[in-house]
Amino acid sequence: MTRDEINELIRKSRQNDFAAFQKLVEQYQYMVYKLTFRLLASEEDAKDMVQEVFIRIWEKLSTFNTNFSFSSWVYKIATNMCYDMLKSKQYKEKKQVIELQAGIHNPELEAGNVESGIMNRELAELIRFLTGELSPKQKLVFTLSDIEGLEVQEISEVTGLSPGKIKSNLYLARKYIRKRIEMTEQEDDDEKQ
Amino acid sequence: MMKNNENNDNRLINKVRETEPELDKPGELTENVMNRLKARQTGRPKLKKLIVVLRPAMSAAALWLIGLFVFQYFGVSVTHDKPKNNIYSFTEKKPGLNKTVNLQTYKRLVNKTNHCKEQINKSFDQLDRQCLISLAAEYQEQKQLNNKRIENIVQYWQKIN
Repeated sequence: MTRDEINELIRKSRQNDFAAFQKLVEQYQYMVYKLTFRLLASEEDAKDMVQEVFIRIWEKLSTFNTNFSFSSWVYKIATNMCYDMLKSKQYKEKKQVIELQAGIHNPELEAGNVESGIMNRELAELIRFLTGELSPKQKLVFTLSDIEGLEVQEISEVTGLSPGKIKSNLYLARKYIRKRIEMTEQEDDDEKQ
Repeated sequence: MMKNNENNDNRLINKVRETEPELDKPGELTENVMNRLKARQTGRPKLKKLIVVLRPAMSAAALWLIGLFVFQYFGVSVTHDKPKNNIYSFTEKKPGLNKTVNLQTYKRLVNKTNHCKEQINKSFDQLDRQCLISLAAEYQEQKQLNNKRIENIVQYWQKIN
């Protein structure tokens, strides 16, 4: 879809045209879903968040400046909403329940299914294994940088965090993840012996 | 060993990066979004109307309550019965309240009623009508002029009106 086409859909959506907005949802929902899935590490939470994000977009559409990229704006809204959710007390409590039920483990290392395709549930578990214990800010920065592949400047634009803060959080996140993988491997080796 | 660990870290992170989560039934998700939006749009005008109707009433009620609270705590009662050195005495509604707080209110009341001071002892028939109205209005406004005579004046005024 070209930029003009998107701007036309935005213009119509601002006039309460649901059909036009539906096309925008269809166009961007997977991008939002992928991001929310990676940040929230849950298919259900990701789908719920997609709905919330598009409702927010609908409400704030009048504030969008069509001179800028719509996808970046959508991405920014989705990121910030996920970050707010990660920080919320309700989400932290829910996460604890999920961890208690499932147990935190490394599905890939345990099952040895490195090459085989992993389903959503396994992907969610792997994300939880890697980022589950990170602070919301570390998780956000790590996901955007190392998983989504954004540059520091881009992360700064999306999150509003300073480059220094992004780098320090990224350093701590990577350090933690490395330590976590090492510990799991050590435990596996001990079990084998 | 160090190199192996780093490779393993990268391998896992790459795995997450390269594996795109599957979205089964994308149409259903779109439909859910649109249904929620439509539901909100139909619900919102009703809510807006309700807010428009309720807002002035709520504001008036809030102001009335604030006024009542302020009046209860800072109101004064002026008595005309026992003037001392040509100054009307006043009593505080709330014990321990600093007298200067209400001095201004007290002075205002005194000034307003001063004009009628001479006339208060006259019989009702001889009272200046303007003074009567003024006193009655003051009484109704303040509900604090506990002079029995003024109450009688008000009752009389209400009767003749």
